[in-house]
Amino acid sequence: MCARCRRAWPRPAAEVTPDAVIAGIGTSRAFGLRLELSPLRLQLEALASALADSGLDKDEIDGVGTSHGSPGGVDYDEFVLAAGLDVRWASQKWTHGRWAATTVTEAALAVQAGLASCIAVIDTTTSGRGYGRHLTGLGGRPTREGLRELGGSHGEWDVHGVDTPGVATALVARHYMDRYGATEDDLARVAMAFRAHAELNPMAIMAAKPMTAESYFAEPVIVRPFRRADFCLDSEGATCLLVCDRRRAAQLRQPAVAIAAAAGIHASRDDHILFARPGLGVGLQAAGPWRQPELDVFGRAGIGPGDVDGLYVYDSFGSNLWMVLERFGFCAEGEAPGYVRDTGIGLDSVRPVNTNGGLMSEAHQSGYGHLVEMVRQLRGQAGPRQIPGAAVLQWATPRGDSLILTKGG
Amino acid sequence: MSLDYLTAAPGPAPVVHPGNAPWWQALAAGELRLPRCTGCGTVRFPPAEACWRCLSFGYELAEVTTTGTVETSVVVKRVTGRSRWQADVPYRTGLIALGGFRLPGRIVCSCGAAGTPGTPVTAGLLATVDGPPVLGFAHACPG
Repeated sequence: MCARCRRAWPRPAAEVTPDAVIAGIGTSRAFGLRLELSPLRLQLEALASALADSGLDKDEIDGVGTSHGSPGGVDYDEFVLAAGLDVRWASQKWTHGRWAATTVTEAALAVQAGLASCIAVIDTTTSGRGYGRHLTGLGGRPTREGLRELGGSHGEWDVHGVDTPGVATALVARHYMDRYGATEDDLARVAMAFRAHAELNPMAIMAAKPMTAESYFAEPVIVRPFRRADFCLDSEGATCLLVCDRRRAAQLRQPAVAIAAAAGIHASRDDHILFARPGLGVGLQAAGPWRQPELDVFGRAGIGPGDVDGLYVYDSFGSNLWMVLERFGFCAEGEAPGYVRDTGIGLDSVRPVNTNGGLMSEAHQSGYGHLVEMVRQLRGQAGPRQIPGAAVLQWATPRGDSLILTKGG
Repeated sequence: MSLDYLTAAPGPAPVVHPGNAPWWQALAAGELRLPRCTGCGTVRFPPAEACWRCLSFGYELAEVTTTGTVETSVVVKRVTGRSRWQADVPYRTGLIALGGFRLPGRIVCSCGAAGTPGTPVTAGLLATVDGPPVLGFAHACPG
């Protein structure tokens, strides 16, 4: 009873703070460059796949988070209408792949805050060389970022011929190799390991294309040190992760995967090139020694780097792995190529990397393909590429964002 | 010191608008100048209307040395982006240490020495297809 107006206002029951978990995963039926399926079609395939995986009813989805919308993807509202959803929380980022971890993090926070109880984190990647040919204004268009006066997100300077992330990251890799003495053999090891994983992944675009050192070095040089094999794939497809209240997830079909900790994208003058760690000395970065590994995400998860059973890296280019290994403290400054050579990153190593094949050999799913794979691994559903006993997996990028997913919990 | 035009295939022009016209006009006049903040003295690179350090808008265009050394460079053999670079491949582009800054630009070098960090280069102008010139660099190749 209200003391002021003497009216009995309805009062919702007190809520305990919900915990957010990943309760379902899905993908489009295939990843590829010539699927000839519209972004919306791909995205609805991924939704249906995630619903079937989890056993969740479509009508229970009350939130949607997506990274990049039209053109190239699907805008959140377009998707909601097409899928017949009724959501009370929606979020959309802008173009490209950098937002995967942040979008999942934001969805988890929205569930924890009670803004929604089951959020479809759903994303479609489309290529200008694929279905984008049919969509006005998409085919072959340079990204706006590359035209910025202050430099693009990857270090592009369009008027200077550094017009794509590929050329910009070749400068990053070249600089790293000059500074620390890494070689083209070191780059080859990364590409070959990811390809070996893809051979065990039926969804991988490169599943039937084994890579040897000989075939790697036979690949055309695009911009040295990068051969074609050091680039991510140009591909299309969609993914869906269902981020739900743990109490609801417990009633569903699949074992829940916990979102144990997250870190956001870092940005500053020293940290403005997406695929270079700070201190490397490219673009506007100061060229100093690598200060400190970024251990805060491990602290929030209550673990250390040594507890990570598998690492998932945004591998738009092979050199990205070096940045991540140093940034997150898996090795010291300049030692990443040695780590790859000596510790290894394959399925037989202590900490396999990108067991799905990554952007370089599975498909460019903007990072979400890695997150889907992490969930499969933590459920023990990764088949011949299963990491034995996988309990703690980390997503990490050269730009500092990270997610630590753990089994059950 | 006045910048000379370098011999290389023209690339795309910068987008010039009233806010950024002063430094493009200075470059077109053969002067390598960057905005120096009248608030805190920071020389702004990349050139910008506001100071990233103190957020002042005032600036004067300060002259910058025209000689530097290669920090990193790569040769683009195949275009990966827009087709208007197609006519220019292969070309060398990179980052030049110059006057305390790290400036981007294509590098004209026929002998390949510019592939080695520390190689001295001189700033110059590169013509564009449809607009004012952009900054470039040249190595004094032997012969």
